Amino acid sequence: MRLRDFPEEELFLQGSAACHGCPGSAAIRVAFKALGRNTVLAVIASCTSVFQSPFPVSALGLPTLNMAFATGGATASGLSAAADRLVAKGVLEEKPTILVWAGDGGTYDIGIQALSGAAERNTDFIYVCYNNEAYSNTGTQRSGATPYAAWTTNTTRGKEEWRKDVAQIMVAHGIPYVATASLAYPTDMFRKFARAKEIKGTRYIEIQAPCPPGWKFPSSHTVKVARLAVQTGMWMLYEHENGRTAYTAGTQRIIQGQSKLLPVEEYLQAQGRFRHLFHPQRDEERIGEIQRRISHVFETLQFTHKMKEHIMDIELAPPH
Amino acid sequence: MPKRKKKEAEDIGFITTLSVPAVGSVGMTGSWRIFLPVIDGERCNKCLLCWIYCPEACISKDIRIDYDYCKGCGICAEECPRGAIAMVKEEKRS
Repeated sequence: MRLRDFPEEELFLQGSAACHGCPGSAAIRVAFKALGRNTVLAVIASCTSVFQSPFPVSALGLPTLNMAFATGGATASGLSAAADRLVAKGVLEEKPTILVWAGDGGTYDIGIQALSGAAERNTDFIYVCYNNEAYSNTGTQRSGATPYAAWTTNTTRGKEEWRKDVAQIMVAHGIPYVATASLAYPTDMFRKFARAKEIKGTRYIEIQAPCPPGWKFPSSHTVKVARLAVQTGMWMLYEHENGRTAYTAGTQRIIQGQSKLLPVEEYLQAQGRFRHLFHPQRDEERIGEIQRRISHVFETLQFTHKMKEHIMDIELAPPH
Repeated sequence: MPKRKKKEAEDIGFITTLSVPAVGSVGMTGSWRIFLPVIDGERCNKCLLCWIYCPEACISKDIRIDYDYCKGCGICAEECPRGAIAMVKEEKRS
């Protein structure tokens, strides 16, 4: 899919209340383009609830339900069951795509119980977490998605814990489709949404969303920071389907050796929330620790990739 | 109040709590701008990157900027691979 083949129709309307350079609205545009008009949207309390703008108007051109923080999976279960019933009755010709749009607070911390329940029941819906790695809506508090050593208003010397990986938790649920996406790779993101639309069952897509005011970088650098995250290995792009994980776009190129893994410093220095690692003096210990973790993951993946190339010729016999 | 809403209120006599999708839901956001993106049509090769990266959907697919709503974030100028978009300081408005 090339950019020129993307649909022109805009379902996210201009003049919303989003900040300058908001990654949430940029992601929502690509998602809406891929999913099309026959979609019902449930927005979980997040920045999106704010930038969709005050009553009586909305910047979202789809039927939208605004729901409380903890209710992502539960709302989707209800919507999905209602849509199934309407299709059975003949009121609707085609079942609409149920899309839940939540932030990382509503996914990692508050909403994971309902999401896990819905995923276990394999409810037919797409859950999108746009992950800005903090509660940016309320002024950047720490969340379960905040990375190690990052500044937030309640981790002023940098977070001491490592972030958890909800995408991998969703993989462990055994749902049909799990993917991660990045703003800097819109064709990759579009393809993942289009793929998710075709599948039935619970589908989980997580988008990294660099937030200019929360991460403290100029609003024009949103896409640049998103790209650096992939190039330095801080964010990995993959999709998991039928028990197999396939790495895509930038991450795939690094694993296959077509492009080099950039040092993580470039990503850290691009943002003000990691400033205490460099000023007043360099914190070698914490920078080194982050780099070690990333290098370990990528060395393992590069090694497995090379091994796979060697044993590609051997066809495994089907299990029967 | 949007037209449809107003008409609905007159017809039925009450206003629902449903919001209606509308362009410019918080007004003319172009007034938030400090720097104005200007496209150099000769350098542009229509790669459409600015169109898809614009968070505000203010660049059309034939690469025209909607200055009524462009907030001037500067992503288009930063991401343009040919440097065809310049950020120019906005003239002070009366």
